[in-house]
Amino acid sequence: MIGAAVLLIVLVVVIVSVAGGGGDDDTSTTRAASGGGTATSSDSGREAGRAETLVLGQYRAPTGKIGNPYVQASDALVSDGLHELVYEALFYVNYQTGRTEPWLATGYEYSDDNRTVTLRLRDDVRWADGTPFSSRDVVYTMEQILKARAPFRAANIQGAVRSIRALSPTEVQIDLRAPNPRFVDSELSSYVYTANFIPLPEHVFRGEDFETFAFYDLARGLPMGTGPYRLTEVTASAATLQRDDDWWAARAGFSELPAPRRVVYTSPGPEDSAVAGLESSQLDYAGQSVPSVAGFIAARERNPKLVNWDGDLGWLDPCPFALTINTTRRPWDDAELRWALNASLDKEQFSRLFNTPGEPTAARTTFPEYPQLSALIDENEDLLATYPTLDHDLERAAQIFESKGYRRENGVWTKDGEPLSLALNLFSPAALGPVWGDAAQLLNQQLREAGIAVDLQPGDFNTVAATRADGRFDAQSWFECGSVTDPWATLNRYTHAPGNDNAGRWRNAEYDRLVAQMGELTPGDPRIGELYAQAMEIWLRELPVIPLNQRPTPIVMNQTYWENWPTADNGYTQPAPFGMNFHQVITRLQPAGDGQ
Amino acid sequence: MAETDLTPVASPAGTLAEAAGIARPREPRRWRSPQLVLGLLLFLSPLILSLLARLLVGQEDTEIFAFDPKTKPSADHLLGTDGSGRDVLAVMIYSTAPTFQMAIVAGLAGTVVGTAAGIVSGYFRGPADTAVRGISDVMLGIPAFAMLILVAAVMGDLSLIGLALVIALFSWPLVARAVRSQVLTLREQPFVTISRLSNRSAASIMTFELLPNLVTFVTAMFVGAISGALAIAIGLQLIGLGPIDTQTLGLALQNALSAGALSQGLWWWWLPPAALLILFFLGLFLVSLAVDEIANPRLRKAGRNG
Amino acid sequence: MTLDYALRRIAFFFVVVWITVTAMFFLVHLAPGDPITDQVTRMQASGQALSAGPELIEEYRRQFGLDKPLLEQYVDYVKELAQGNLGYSVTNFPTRVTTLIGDALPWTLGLLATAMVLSWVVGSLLGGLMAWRSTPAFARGLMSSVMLFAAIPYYLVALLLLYVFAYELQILPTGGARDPLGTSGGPFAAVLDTFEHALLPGLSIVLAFTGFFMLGMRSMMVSVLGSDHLLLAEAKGLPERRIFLRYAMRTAILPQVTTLAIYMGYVVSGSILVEVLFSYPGLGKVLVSAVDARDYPVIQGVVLMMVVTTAGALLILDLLYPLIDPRIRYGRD
Repeated sequence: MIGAAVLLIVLVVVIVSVAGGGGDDDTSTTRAASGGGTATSSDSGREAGRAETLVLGQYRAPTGKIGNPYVQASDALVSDGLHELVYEALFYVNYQTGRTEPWLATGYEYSDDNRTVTLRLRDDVRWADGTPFSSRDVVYTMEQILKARAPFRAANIQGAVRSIRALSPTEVQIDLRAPNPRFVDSELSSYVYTANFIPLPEHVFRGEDFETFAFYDLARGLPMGTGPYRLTEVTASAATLQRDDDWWAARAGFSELPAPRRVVYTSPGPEDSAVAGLESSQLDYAGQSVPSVAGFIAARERNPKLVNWDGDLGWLDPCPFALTINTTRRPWDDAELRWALNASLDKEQFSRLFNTPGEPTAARTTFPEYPQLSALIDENEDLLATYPTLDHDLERAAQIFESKGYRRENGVWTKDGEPLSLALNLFSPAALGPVWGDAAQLLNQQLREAGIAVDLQPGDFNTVAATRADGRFDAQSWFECGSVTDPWATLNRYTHAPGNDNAGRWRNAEYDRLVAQMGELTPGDPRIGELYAQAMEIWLRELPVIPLNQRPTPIVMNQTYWENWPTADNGYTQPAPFGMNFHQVITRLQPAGDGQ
Repeated sequence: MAETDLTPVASPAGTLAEAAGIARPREPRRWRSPQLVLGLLLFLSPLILSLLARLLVGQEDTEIFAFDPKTKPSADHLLGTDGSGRDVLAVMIYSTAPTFQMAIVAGLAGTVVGTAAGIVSGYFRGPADTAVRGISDVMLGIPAFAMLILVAAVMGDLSLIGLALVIALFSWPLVARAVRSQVLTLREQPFVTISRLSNRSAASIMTFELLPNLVTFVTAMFVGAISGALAIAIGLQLIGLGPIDTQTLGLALQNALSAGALSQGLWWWWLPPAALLILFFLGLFLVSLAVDEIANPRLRKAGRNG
Repeated sequence: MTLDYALRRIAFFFVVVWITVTAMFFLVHLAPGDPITDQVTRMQASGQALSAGPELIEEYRRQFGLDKPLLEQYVDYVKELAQGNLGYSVTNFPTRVTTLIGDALPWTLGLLATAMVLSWVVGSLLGGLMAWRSTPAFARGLMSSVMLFAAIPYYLVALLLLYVFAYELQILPTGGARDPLGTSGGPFAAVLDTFEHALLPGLSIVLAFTGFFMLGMRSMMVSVLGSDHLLLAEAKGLPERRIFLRYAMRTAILPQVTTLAIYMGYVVSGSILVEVLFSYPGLGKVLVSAVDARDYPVIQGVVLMMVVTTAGALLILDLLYPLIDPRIRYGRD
């Protein structure tokens, strides 16, 4: 009997040691054979030291194993650095200057009717394996997108493009289905992080099924791009990229070789470990979800080399927070009541919550206040004087409620025995971070004080998204992405253009007409300002969405090892961890002067 | 025995089933053990104090931006304020009772259902037994915490009591199984056999003969179920799941941890709820140890002498 | 009879697995939201207007078979499962669910199983000593304090450990399984690095479960100590050490083996919280992020793994138990 027991124990111990051993040499590790599958081997054997390494804390642990940006496993790319450092864009949109900067392309021209675009490409670009990049790759990628049943991040391209053809190895002509002066900016550039055109190497894809090919085999040098780095290792804790010293742009003298020889994308972990990582300079960069402003300030006390975008103030995310109101549900279908709701909210407090203890960042409108858009809002300040979205004014709210026949009973506005209630569908802390737990309580607090009975319905992202699609809410927390330089995209969110995320179901024919008219104008056209004022007049009067916060996002950059980070004073581009623009950052980083 | 998956907390109740053997009918029990007194004190005094303190501290102190955020403990705020300007002590005062309520409801629901099922199953045998055993065995095989994560994630607006009932759904089988095995031995005891022969109804035998003899045992299960439910609920809240519209200690702890109280050195934010929870668990543990010894006097002797 | 019992027991195992899998299937599919809507909404939410949004959702739902009636999806799923096919992750398509699980499982097993066995060995020994009458009183007092850890959920212990060792003293990492920068200095440094990262999560589990196993061992020892064969051994005047190890521990350890076996089954499903707290890249992390993204095939795959290990451990135990302890007959009550 003891014999059997011992046997069982031995068995367990053996299993455990096998399993434990498996834990030690991580099975998910795939090391690329040095120079395997590539014509040029960049890192001549020597491991880059810490001072030559850039360590980025991304908001998600690397998942890897997919290189094809058009299968729908999208976010994996963002956290492995593929999007930013391995692939390159035809153009980079700079939120700060508002310019569309050519990269793989040299320029473009629209036909007079805005239906045809002619792209000119560089002639000195090479893929990482040395094969020249040409119009063949662009045409191949675009044609596959057009043929695909569902090209994940390029569905808009599929809808917009009729055909594409190569005019020469460096010239491509794209025929559009409808006039679209924003096509290059929004579809062929690094406009926002999810939807853009990434050229793929035709010579690698040839013979593969475009829609299911993972494009991922580190030993073969896949995923392959034209960028300055190659992905060489992915483990459960980090994705490592090595610099390609033969990068085309350096050889062509178009750009300096980026300084970091090695880049490691890793998860910063939760708030506390992100702060610890930045403090100890294990991390050179962390942003988007962690740390919070408070975490940044605490970390900076112990590591003065840390900087944020603008002092304590984070970089403004392109998607401000707002409350979407379902304008088809009574009583909130009444614009005046929506204004009463707006006046019931103390947005300063939300600003404090999202941005402790930085400057106030309550949102005037749902536009992210990048320089171009901020200027536009300022030019039309009289609109905001008429429609003061920032005013917290309980008296005004009370007047409106009273004028609509409500009486305050036991602290709650009541009409015909029915209390004024608001089904408030909110992100839960699990969905979008801990601050939403407090945001829920704060909204509840403020609205209760204003006499509105709140029915709080927190949900994770998925539940909120499903509720949004069905319209089962009176008000819902959401983020309003759209414009970054030109006002059309945000305005267009609230129209009935097909596929629009108009979850509030607001409808105004005059507004739709004005926005459609703006859509036909080239960005920068002087008539846009006038149309903006007219459309915003309607929007503000009706207030289908209540702007809440501009959403400053701490992007913490560490100057211990690397300098020349983009900050408000040195705003050469946006510092976002997402989107392809980090490419523009890494080529400008310099090793820290005092030679750590 | 399958408790860990549900609860990482050990409860002596599990071992009780093996070690206790047959509970002797109507034996005078030694309820006045120091462990029991200390356990109940640890467990109940925070609750009573918190209810009394509600008279002194208003709920408005738990509102966001009631005060300046992150002030150190001082005479004004004995435990300081948290990252969103709530008074930490006030938050503790207003979270204790709901936390208790949740744990007790979950423990009670699991124990009552489990005991009823266990008695019926053990007394009648036959199809009722097969059904109860089948269901509880299946339930014990299911990875409960994983299921609870899913349930809590997809039901974002689950209330505190709802959460308690969902937890009870996974804890009753354990009780049922243990009670059943006790009943199996009890029903063969002479006093039960005599009752049966004297034509008393089954319901009356179960209620008046079996149940009183199970009191100690069921109490031990109940205590275990409370601490199990508490452990699970707090665990879910640490992942960011569970209700956010009621102040609870788990929510306070989650707030502190996710906002970076550890790395910012704001010990007065995370430590008090954690410490209070630890007190609860220790109190419950002592109570269950004491109940365990009452049911199994030999343990008591061994614990004492030497 | 024997074979009959074994077969019934095995059949029961499959019933448990089937019921869990079924419950899980309907729970995740009937919940609001689905992985496709989630992804497309995320894209739409963080991008510009997606004119082809609805079509895209329809197409992907078709590709993953989510457009079929739920019952048909269920039948398909069970059919595939019977052939051992767990399918593809939706959020990480075209990565297979088995790949995701295979990457995470060694971490979970390595951490949890090692910790569990360690706490079993220490806990049994201490539990035995605690009930042993010639153990000095101060040692016994010390042991009772270890036992108190059994009362506290391990995540609270983990929290205290994290604060002290990772944030205040800063001598151990705050999370993760390995240094993201890798280690230089050969395999030994890599093992050391892995060990360093596993220390705090491992320790919190060991503390909690040592106390738990102590409790069980102590109460077993108490029953054993009063038994006749031990009294006999004492009467024979055998050396104390010998009586403790050969007579008392040996008898009391058997139920402990049972408990360990059962707990080994919970290793996989019990890992979730520890992995979340320490950002440990195991199965629990996979599950939590899959739940967040409603990645049906991954959720189903991970839960399947969990139920197979929990119910599997019980099955193996029930089948082996009669071999270990002849007093137990088959078909025990």
